[in-house]
Amino acid sequence: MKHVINIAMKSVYVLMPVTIVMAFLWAPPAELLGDYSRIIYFHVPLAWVSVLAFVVSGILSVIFLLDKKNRFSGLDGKSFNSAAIGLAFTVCTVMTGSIWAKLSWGSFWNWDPRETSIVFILLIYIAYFCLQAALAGKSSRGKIGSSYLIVAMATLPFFVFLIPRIVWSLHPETIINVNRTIYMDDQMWITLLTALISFSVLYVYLFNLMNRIMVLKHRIGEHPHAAD
Amino acid sequence: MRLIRIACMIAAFCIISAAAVIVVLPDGARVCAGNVISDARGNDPAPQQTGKSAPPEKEEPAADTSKTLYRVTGVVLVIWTGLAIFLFRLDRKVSKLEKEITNLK
Amino acid sequence: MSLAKKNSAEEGSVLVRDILRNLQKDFRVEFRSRFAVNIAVSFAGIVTISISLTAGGAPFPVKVQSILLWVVLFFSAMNGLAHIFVREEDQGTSLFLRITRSADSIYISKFIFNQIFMMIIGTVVTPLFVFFVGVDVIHVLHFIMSVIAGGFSIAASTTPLAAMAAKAGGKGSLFTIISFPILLPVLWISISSTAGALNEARPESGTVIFLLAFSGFITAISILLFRFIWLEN
Repeated sequence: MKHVINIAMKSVYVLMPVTIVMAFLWAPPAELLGDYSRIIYFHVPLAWVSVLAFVVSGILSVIFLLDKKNRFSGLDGKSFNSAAIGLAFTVCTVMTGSIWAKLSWGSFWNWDPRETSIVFILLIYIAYFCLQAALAGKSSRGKIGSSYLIVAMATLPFFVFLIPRIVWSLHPETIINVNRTIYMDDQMWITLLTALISFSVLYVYLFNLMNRIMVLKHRIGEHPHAAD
Repeated sequence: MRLIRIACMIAAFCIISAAAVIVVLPDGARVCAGNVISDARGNDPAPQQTGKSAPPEKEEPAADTSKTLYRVTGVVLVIWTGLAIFLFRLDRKVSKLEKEITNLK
Repeated sequence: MSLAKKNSAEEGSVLVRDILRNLQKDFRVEFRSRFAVNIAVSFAGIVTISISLTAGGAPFPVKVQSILLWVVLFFSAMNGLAHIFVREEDQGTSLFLRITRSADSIYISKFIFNQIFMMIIGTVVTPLFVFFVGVDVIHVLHFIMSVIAGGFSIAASTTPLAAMAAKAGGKGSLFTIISFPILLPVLWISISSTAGALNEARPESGTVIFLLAFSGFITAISILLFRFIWLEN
């Protein structure tokens, strides 16, 4: 079982080049945007992976707080790792997204609802890392960090779904949704699906690697001469 | 104590579900709003022109774009290869260290 | 059955008694020094008067007026709202509280204290601001409602974060950093709500409902989480 999972994670080395070749050479260009639309095969999976990572970190911190008998070890560190990966992927999402916005709307940043919500998400997780840095070395670090992650997770639906509805009902001229009107045929869907899968596998691989490194650090801390 | 906690859970659940209902329900309204907005944007020429007129001009010389595409693919593949080598080496080092530590015990 | 009922009723009365005692203690400590309220109100007064002075009587646009109002409210409240937990940690009283009172009663009393604090700031700052900056309030009821709802949700969402920041050593800027992203949408909605009250057009009540729902939700979540923040192990 462990072996199978290991091989499945290693498949990222094959999947990513396949995705890249498919995205640039195999998929046809979209009608409206031409070849610029190919960034969708990177932008959408990056966004999906960052959401996935944040959800995973939230769920892990809920389990960490409810797990009084310490059945699972190192859950706070794992949720921290997941949030770190999520933040990195979110930064990549913002970069690809603003490149796309420049190409299709003419400016790098124009505060449409998606961009606003991603800024909120970025700020929240940057604040989370500030909090973790301030708590370094304290025994309550895991609990407080997890609580903050849960508060942040719980308020995210308000930011992402409700606020655009309330604010933009007053100022509707700022909604620009070109990407909804893109027509996608089968080849494009398949490419997008492959990209989603390979980026998810990449996330799982990175997450696993970071957790292993964390465990190693702990063990070396326990035995100071183990690294010699 | 327990009553308060249960009440809090129920309240949080109610608010979230109310929010979900608000988000989901007027979906038709959203589509209509989108149409209206796209019409409204049609009147506003400045950002629209840069958006729609630029891509067709670039698409005309077909051979050129495919060459560029190959080049871009190559660059991205090279970047990915670098990342993959880094990741692979890291993975191997971590596995080695794990083995060493388990042997020590 | 009857025993369980009696127990829960007793528990409830103990909770209410604890909350009232905590509140009494908090207010007594606060009135002895009046540190938080003095700083907040004088900060607000200084900022408002300097805005009015530098504007020289020229009227601002509606949007700018509401932004300035919320900036003044936000920053003057920020010090005092964290103070309630930081003080416990500074004076070393948090240990006794942790032993003698349940976490829920402490959270609820701090929450009520923060709400009252925010209301005091709001009732002092808003008239001052309206008077000095020359805000022309058209929909008075909506204006008052949005100020109250905005203050309510600022206090509600900063209370758990204040506890976290106090645990992290009470570093002053940390509290602002961790509460700002949670408060940003609240401020944003409050600003648009207040701007709606200053406009000619009929304001929408959706913003006020959003603020109240948000604060209720975050209060519920933070009552559930407060045990984990407050108690060590």
